[in-house]
Amino acid sequence: MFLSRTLPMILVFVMGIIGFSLYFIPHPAARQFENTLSQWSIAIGSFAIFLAITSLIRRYINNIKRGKDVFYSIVALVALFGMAGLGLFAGIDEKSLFQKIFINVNVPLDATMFSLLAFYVTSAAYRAFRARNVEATLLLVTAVVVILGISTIGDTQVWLRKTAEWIMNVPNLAQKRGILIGVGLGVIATSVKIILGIERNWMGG
Amino acid sequence: MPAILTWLISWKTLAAILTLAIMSFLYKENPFYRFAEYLFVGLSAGYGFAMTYHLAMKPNLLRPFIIPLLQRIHILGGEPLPINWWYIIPTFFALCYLSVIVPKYSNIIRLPFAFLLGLGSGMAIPRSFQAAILEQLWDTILHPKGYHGYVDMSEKYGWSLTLVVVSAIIIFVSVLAVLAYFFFSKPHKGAYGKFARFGIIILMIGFGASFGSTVMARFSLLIGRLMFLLSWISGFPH
Repeated sequence: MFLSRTLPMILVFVMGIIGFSLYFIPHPAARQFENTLSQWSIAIGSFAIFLAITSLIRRYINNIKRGKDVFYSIVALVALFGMAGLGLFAGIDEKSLFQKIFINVNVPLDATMFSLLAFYVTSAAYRAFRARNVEATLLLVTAVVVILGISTIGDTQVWLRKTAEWIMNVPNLAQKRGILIGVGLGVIATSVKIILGIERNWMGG
Repeated sequence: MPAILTWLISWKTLAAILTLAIMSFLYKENPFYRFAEYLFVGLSAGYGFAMTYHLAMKPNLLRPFIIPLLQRIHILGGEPLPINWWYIIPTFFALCYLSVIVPKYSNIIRLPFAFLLGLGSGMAIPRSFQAAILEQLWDTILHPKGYHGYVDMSEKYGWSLTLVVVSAIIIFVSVLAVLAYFFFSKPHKGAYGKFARFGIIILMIGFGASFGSTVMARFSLLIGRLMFLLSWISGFPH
């Protein structure tokens, strides 16, 4: 009980107070301590990748055991171990095979996957965007103006480009700013709840 | 080597084949797409692991503590590195992650989470207040002399001073309206309700603009991939 609940709660509280207080102490020793804690956080956080990789490997091994997607699971495992091995033992500098594979395989795959969303987003918009009421009409009209304004049509129709620019820089900015202020308040409230032990969902069951 | 073979056995051809494999999903799910998909997952995980090792683990934990420690107990050789004993603390927390391997002690994994979450939350409070609230309010407030944050609009987009001033007022009122919409402690009735409704209108305009720019970003990616395929085909030796 102490190790699984009480100690983590004490640790959250102590680290929370330290993290909060350091912001207000301009002394070089405090800055140095803050840097050290940041480095420790990076080091501790980076070890979480073991969890991710272990869970991925376990999933693919289970697939192979159950005879489900065997070939594809082997492809994924070979790619994972091959890429990790190359990076660990042959280095990650710009001219390495590791970076060449990343640039010529990962980057095109990534870009193509995201580019496919263009089709799905358009098809979803066609089905979902109907001018049913004032709000939906505004959303539709704004999206169309922005799309046309920042495309090549905007080069010939200057008023369209200027309108799109104005929408992006004024109402869009105001909306984002309002949401950001709300998010900021939410972050503060949640952080206080975590530090004081009111919010305990992070401990799981 | 014949030109056609040089063209075929190249990184560009590999990238083009994988691009076509992903695009084949537009027809329907098929073995080529699945191959590319699993390859992508595996490579990305391997890439992430190697990069994390080199950029995060090695400089922040292995070099200051673990490697020198292993040298001292003669497991590793090489030029002896100075040891920083304070790093025993993050090493302990990092090793706690491995407790998931033994289900009986898996609760220990809460300790590194507690360290990160506590420190992150403590640091987030003043920083979030500064960046997400004070800075945003400062840029929204109308200034008697000039218009903070909007002067660059007239320079960048050639807006007239009148448009800059009107825009500044619209932003000021709109931010308040959006905040009013999200404030649920007061019923949205009467004048306040109308003001909150104006907030919804601003939100819808913002969502429309975000949607439009997202669509354009996806299309520019698609155009990029199509241009890449064209350049690959045009490299075919005649």
